[in-house]
Amino acid sequence: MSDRGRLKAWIARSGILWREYGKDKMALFGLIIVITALAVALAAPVIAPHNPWDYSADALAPPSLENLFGTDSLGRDVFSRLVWGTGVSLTFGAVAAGLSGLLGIVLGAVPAYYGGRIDDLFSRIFEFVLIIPMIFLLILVMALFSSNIYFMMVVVGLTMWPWIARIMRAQVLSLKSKAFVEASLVSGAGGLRILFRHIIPNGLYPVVANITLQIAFAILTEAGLSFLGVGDPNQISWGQVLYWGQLNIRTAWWNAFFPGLAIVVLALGFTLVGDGISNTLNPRLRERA
Amino acid sequence: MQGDALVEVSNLSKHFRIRASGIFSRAASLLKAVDRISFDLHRGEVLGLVGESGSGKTTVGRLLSLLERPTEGSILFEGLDIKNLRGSKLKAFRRNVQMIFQDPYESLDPRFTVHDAILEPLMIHRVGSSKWERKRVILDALDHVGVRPPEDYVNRYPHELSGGQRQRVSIARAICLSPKLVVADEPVSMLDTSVRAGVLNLMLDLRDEMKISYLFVTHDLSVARYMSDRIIVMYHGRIVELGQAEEIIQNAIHPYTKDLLASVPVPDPEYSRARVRMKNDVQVQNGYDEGCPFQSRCPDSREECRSRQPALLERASGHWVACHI
Amino acid sequence: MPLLDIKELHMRYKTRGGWVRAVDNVSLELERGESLGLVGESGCGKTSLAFSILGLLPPNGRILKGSITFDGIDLLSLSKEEARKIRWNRFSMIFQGAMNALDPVEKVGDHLIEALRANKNVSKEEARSRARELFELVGLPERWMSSYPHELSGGMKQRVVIGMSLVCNPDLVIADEPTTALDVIVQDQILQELLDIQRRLGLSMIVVSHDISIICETCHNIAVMYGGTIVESADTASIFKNPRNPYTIALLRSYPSIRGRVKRLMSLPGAPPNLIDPIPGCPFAPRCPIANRICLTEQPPRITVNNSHYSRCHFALDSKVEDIALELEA
Repeated sequence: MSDRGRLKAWIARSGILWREYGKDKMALFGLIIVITALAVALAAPVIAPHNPWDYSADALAPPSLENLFGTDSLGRDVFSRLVWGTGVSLTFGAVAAGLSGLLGIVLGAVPAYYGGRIDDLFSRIFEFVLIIPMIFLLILVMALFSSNIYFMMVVVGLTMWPWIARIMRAQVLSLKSKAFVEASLVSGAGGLRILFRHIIPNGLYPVVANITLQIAFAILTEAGLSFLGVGDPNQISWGQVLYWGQLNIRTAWWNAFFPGLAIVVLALGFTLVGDGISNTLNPRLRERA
Repeated sequence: MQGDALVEVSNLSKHFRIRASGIFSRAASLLKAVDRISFDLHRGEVLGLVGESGSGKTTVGRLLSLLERPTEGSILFEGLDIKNLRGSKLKAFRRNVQMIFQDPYESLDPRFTVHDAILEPLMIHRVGSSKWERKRVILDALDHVGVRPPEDYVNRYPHELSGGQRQRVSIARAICLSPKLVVADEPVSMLDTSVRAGVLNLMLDLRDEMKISYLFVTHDLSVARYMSDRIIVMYHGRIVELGQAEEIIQNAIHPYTKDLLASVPVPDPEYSRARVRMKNDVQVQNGYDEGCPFQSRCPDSREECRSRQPALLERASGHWVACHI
Repeated sequence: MPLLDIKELHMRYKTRGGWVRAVDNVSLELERGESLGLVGESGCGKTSLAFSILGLLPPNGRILKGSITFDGIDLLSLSKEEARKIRWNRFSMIFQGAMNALDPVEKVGDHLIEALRANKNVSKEEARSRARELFELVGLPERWMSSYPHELSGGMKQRVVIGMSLVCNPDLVIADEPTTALDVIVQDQILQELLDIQRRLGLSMIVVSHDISIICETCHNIAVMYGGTIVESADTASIFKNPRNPYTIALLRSYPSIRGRVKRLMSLPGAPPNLIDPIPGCPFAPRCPIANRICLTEQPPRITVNNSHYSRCHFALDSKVEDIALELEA
């Protein structure tokens, strides 16, 4: 009975959150974009009219009924390439931001909770990593080591985590002294229980919002790196489509316009969702009986 | 109702290092929140700890529940020095001393249901051998503290409860392990007046039924009088007076205690209070290392008050005062 | 003619859940030079009433009915601009927690000077000398004028706030929980200071608080509020010697006292009333020890106990009310 009751309570709480989120029109719009992208990615085999790898003689053809977004310099259908690339971009964003989030949460929370010199050390580490100009580091790493897209995801994630860590740290520092945390301490709870059951869950809200923003950022980074030519040529990512389009930008504008548009729209979508999450959860903190 | 000593505190001090207030100053100064105090807490008694903000009373409560470690001195709990407890011994100690906090809004994790909040200490100390048995303990605890019917409240979140109910849930959480001592830090000062009486009476009833001792920390002398068997009055980290509650209320000796009593507003238009004699907060400096901490505000201070710290001496049976006069 | 005369005031807030009846049929009078205490717990409507008088309602607050007459002028019948002018010059409020809202980067003396110059067109020199006067009035030595708020103790900050409230020479001062965050000894000093200032300047004052003991010490008259309405109002002595409303009695008996014998405190079951969907009868009925069926269905009328002592209770003149009082004496 207790489990059913708790499930009902949890559902009720989530319901309120969704309703609150839904009030923000921009946030809803962002969510629609993200869900649409997900749907497109999942349905790629069905939606794409052509095989994205198929060369054809019809190079640099403008948009038509046959090729909705035209073809690129090798005669490949841009629309199909974009459709297939949706999944790649989403995966990239998710993995990079996911890695960044995981590292950021743990490395932000644990030193902050235990405090002292460890906390000082890690703060310096965060600052150090954040100072490094990311784009140049990435270009260097990709050029020197590997242009494999999975490698790229991990590296991008590794450059983003201190951002999350700092936010998590700020949350932990402020939650550490709350009465309910001290109540758990007095009950006999150990540090790990307190951290993972009380502090981190209560401090997650701005962190989740920022991780969502980082998805957008990762997608843009991938696009930028591929555009510069250090991306993974074996993958169809939106950045790659842009890359293939850069040579003919002036003559065959559709090569750059559509992928650019897609990138901007998806990044915008995630940004709006991130903002929406952060706005929803902020007024809720004011909730009192 | 006195028994043997449950807690014996000797020469207890807690110092905090604080950074100086100037932007360029690197010198850290020492804040002596608690300065060499000694007292006993007897089994089954309610010991009221009274003082204003900055008196150190909250810190004493936190020291006894080991939320802070003493800088100096010792705290004996049932004969065992708890100052350096770690690991499993610390966990065992924690079953015996629980705490109730001032703010009912912050004492409960907003993401935990009432059930989960009370479940946590049970899980930590492995009370009850099955989920159903623990649920039974939780429901009984809620009923015991007056949250009735318990089934209605068990799955609620803190924001769905009133301040008084939250405080009762916190009390339920504190007593479900049957502790020997509960440190209550201003447990009713943030509650509405009509709700306070209920919580105070509940605490007294629990003391009678479960033989719990309380360290009742408060700035409100009227509440301290209602709840306590004995009262300790603190000022700037030191004990200035200690004794039976009624004795202190009726026959206060230390000038600070007398002023505290004189400043309590009495809801009776015909009662004219004794005037508060101590110097106004506007004219005062704080923090003296030498002599009595009350010297700058005491209307009767003498030469020796400035040079020698008064020791806590027994002036009448069970009535201790730290004053040269 | 009373300085402030409120008749049958109804005020509501619009919220997601419905209309909250924050002030429900409130009538009260304040004579010149007197002080009135509004006592009640959180949610009883006392702060809403204060804000209604001052015209400080939030956007979702609306006065539906009633009149607020100040010095013969009905404030609610004036245009917004005219009402604002009167309030700006003749009313003043000490907000709850104001002492913590002082600008940390501005010297406290400047707080007063700014307030003065915002209120009237005076030169800096005049403002400064008036600020000095006010400092003296509230018992602060002049040297503190050039200090910052964080250098002052709680009591001193509250004195600054009181000084600021007197800047425009108001006729009416409303103090909302003036001593709540202060230590007991400082609280006493501030209350004495307020009393002193009120007597010296002949101010009319309304003190809003949940603490009936400080109201007793500072006010000539008391109005006890519950569920948005005034359940009893009288001069202070009558409220204590002859309370004629079960809620007033419960409130009085729920405070432990320093003097007299230690008595078991009276605790009230239940919770404060729902102001969105109130019951048709007396708001206190569900928790009242002497409630009868009529209490749940009919709003109690305002019964006159004797001159200027009113109680909203069906049994105000009944011996039942005396019984609760006696029962708790035992």
